[in-house]
Amino acid sequence: MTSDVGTQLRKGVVEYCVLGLLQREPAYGWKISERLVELGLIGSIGTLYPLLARLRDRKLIAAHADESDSARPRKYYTLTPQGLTELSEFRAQWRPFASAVDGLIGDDAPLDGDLSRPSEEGLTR
Amino acid sequence: MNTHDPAQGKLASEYLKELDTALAASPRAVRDDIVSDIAGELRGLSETDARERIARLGDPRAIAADAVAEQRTEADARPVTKAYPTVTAVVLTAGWYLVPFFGWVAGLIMIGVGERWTGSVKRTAILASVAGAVVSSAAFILLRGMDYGIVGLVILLVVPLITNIFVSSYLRARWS
Repeated sequence: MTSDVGTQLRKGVVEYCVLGLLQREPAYGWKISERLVELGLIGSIGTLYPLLARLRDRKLIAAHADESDSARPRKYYTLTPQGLTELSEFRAQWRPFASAVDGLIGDDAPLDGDLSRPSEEGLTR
Repeated sequence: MNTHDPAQGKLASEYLKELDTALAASPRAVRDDIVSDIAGELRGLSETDARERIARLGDPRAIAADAVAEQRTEADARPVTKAYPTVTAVVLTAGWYLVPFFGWVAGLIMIGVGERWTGSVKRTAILASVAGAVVSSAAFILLRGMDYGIVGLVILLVVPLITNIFVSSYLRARWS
């Protein structure tokens, strides 16, 4: 059950984590995968490629070949302007959402108090 | 995908081959991307380094299972419309009359390539439609030239219509 919750939570946010990584710098599949696996956001590199294909189809990222290392020609992914817009929209929603959830279920959440306190504004956007 | 690369060590070659086989159920583009990117990372490494990277990557079957699960997530997220089964129903049913034989065959092909029907649903639908066509055609041929040959013509016109309406309804209900 716990792993189901984790899976459901990851489904909605991993795409944006990839966009966030690519906003910092262009990266190739292996590199992105290593970072996401390390953070426990995906199980393996197998999850990443269908997700990258989906982001490309939606034109949120673009791929280009980098053959400067002739021994390892790589496909680099970059964020498109459309991807940046999408990421900014997600970011604007995510912070109040995370704060609201944390306010309800976090360690410091009131057990018997005012339930309307956490960021209502953010949840109703 | 051809996974043979002289710059790959034995371990890497075996791993890539296993990975390519395990990914057989994935779309060709995704399969090629995964295998070629991993092949690029393993290319030219010593056996020790390749072993270490392969250990970090994990079992090819687990990678393939993750890829399939992610694709299923994507398919589940897509809204299901009945447009395809509706067009198939029209082509299958009207095709018999508007473009004799070929229109109906086009409908059968559309059933065969419909991505949201299972193999058994496709088989049942195609067999039922073909059975209707065979029975009505046989009746028409057998009764032709007889006094009540008109009955054969009626059967040829009506039986496929009724059969294909049932087949269409069956297919629309199973499009999910």
